[in-house]
Amino acid sequence: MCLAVAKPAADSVVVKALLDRYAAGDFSGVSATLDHTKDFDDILKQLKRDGPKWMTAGGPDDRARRELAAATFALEAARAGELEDWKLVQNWMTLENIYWHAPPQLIEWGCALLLKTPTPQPIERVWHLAVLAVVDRANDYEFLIGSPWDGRANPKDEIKQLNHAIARFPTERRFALAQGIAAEWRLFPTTRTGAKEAQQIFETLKDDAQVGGEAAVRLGFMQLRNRRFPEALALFDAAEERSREPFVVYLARYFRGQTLERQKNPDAAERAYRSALLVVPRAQSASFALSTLLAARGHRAEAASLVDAALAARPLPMDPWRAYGEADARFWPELIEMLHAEIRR
Amino acid sequence: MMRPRVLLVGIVVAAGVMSVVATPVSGRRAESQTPQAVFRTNTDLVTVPVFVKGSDGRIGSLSAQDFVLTDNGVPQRIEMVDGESIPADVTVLMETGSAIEDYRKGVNEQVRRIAAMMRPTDRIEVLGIDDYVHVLVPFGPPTRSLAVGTFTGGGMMSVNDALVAALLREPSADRRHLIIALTDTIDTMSTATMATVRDVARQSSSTLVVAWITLSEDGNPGIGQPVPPWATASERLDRHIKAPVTFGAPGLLGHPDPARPTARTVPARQQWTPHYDPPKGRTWMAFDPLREAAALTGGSVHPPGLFVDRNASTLFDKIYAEFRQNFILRYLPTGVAREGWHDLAVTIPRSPDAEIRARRGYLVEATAPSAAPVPTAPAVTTTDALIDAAGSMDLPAMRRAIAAAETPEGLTKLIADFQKAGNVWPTAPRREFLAALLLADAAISTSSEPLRADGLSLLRRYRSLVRSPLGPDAFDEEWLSTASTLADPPLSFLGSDRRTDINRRFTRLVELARPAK
Repeated sequence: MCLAVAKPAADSVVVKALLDRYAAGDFSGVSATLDHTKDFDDILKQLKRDGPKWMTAGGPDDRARRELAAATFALEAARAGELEDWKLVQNWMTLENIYWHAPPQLIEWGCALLLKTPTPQPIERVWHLAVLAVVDRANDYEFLIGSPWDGRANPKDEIKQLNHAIARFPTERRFALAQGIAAEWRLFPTTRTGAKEAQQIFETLKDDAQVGGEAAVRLGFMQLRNRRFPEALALFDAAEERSREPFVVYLARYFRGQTLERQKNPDAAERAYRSALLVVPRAQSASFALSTLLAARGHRAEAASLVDAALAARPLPMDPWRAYGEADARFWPELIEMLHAEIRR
Repeated sequence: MMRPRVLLVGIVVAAGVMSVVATPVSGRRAESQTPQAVFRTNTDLVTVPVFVKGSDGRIGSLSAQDFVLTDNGVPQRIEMVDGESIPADVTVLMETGSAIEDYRKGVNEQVRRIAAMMRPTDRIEVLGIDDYVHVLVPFGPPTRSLAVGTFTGGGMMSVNDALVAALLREPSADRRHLIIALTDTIDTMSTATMATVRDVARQSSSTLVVAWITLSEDGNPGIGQPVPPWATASERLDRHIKAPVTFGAPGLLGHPDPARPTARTVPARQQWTPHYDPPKGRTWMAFDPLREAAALTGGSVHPPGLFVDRNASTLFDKIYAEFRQNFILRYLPTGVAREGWHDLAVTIPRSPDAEIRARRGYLVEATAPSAAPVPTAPAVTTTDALIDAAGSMDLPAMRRAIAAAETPEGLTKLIADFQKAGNVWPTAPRREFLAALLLADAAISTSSEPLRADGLSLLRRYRSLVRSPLGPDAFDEEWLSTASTLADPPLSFLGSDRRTDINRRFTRLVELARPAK
């Protein structure tokens, strides 16, 4: 006997209904539904099929708002699918064919909607920044700038999503910085091939008023990994000169501690770690680094109490080192709130 | 996403003041001792658990007189304690990233089984490893409910940090501490390197036992079987490399056909393990750095084996039984300096071929404080009042602090000291921005040209700092606008209106700088 197996109801969503709810302001409800969705191919298929009609259903006056709602909905769906494998590489003969799964295609679909507007609007910049927040969190840097293996892969299959954002907002420095971060991370931890490209970008941006602090701290970290300690320390100083963002300041101080440890200067390293903990108290990276340093110097009781305090923190404070690779993901709450506010209008 | 999907797999065991030990294969104890309390190394009594195995797997009866223990090379007079009588603290370390959410049931079952093997006097805690290290279940009796519900972390793994945290925490004085970590040891996020783990292990009061196991009840897949979803990144990569290339699966013109993937169709990200710095010559079956760390504490490594049940609870059963049945030696150090590092060596002269595992030493802390204390705020004298007032966002008090400078020279010094103090409130930099603006206002309002220049310089310095990462927000715009007003030469006909406007702006800035409720 053959029994048909029905697909679980939880996997089936009606995208049109979700778009209605999303445009009406039920953002958290729709987001929760997306979080429990596994079939992102189906969402993409429905968006492509029903999306155009839904966007025109409100009339010409509501069209731009609905397009933003649909594009943002697609972005939230992609974020819900961050644990999916975004990119597959298929070896066949001498070729490496690329296949993109639904989450990155959802972003591409949303992006295409916004690109239709001849003159970029300020909210479109916010949307592209939100794309960075999603992609950085998913660590799919090749989606932003392509594969480092272009020479032997299929460049035509690459998406290079950041190119769209940069073409629309050529003066936005965060997009330039994002290129460097993606180049830095798509081959991490190697300090060779891809790192050179990242280094050049950070070098160009390190004096910039908007992103210079973060560019300096990332460049400094690359110098640290290359064991160029004096250069690294100078860049960490520069980072704090140019930024007061706690994320950047913490990293500058934490990396300073690591550099000083490698220079066999434990006293200064200890001070650096303690100063990092002033920025983000109980952050695990500096807490553990300081603890091991103290333990090595015979201060086990304080080391143990630091570990206990870091583990006892509720909620756990965001640790900038843990979030180093996720980069712009830290801006997601702010960015999605700005998009929601625009959709509510 | 590019994060490695890791479910597994390994066990680390650590024991409190003493080090651990596995049971003699013969399983026979030489002496039955009266239960005794265990003392920590920061008291004078030192306790050293010892594992002994004869060359033929058996060792026979042993008494305290059979052992020779030296502390910094000086033989010590020892006695033997019954390990069974001492309660244990057990820490379970396991990977809990969202990638193993689907295995929640299996994980909880393994933890439940582990707890069921423990004695009522023992205690258990569960630490989770993902991007962070979490306390999922705090120390408590093993008889309570131990459901682990948090599987929300990313796919990164702070394995080394978790090991360091476990090894650094001090066990209770009258208990032994056993730590079990479920991990494949592939670290992608930690502050600590494997060398750090080894260094911490060397000084730890704990013992480390490492083993490769699976949290899944399915067991490890056989060769040629499909890779299960819980396989580690290294396992997937290994299978990918060895898998035969198949042809004919691509769709039209060789383009990918997701419905018919070839054996070589893998996500590129699965080959990506950031921060992972494998030791030279390491294979996916090797645990060299951890083996060394474990050995330093008197522990051992349980590598993966073929045809062996590797689930967590089965392995724990073996390790825990050994842990409870160690030979435990105790002595009062004599003839050696109390503080500092103590090298330990344990031998059995009548059985020179016996395998003996015991910790290699212990540390008695120096009483001197840490060498490099850092004050919670920079030591600035002349700006103290301003800093205090800005810290509490008290606008009138900030103005009073600035007015207290009295003379142009005093104000010049105050500005210089303030700039020297730098990032005084790293968690709330807007206090600094507000204070800078007030100082600039005071300086620009004077008739002293050098002081006015200082004020303008201060505005220029902070103009680039007052900028939220995504662009100016309401506070930034108000600050920049106020700075612009201050920098413009005042028009005489505006008179007091201008001052009123500036004061109103400062009040608004204080409101904007306060954290949202």
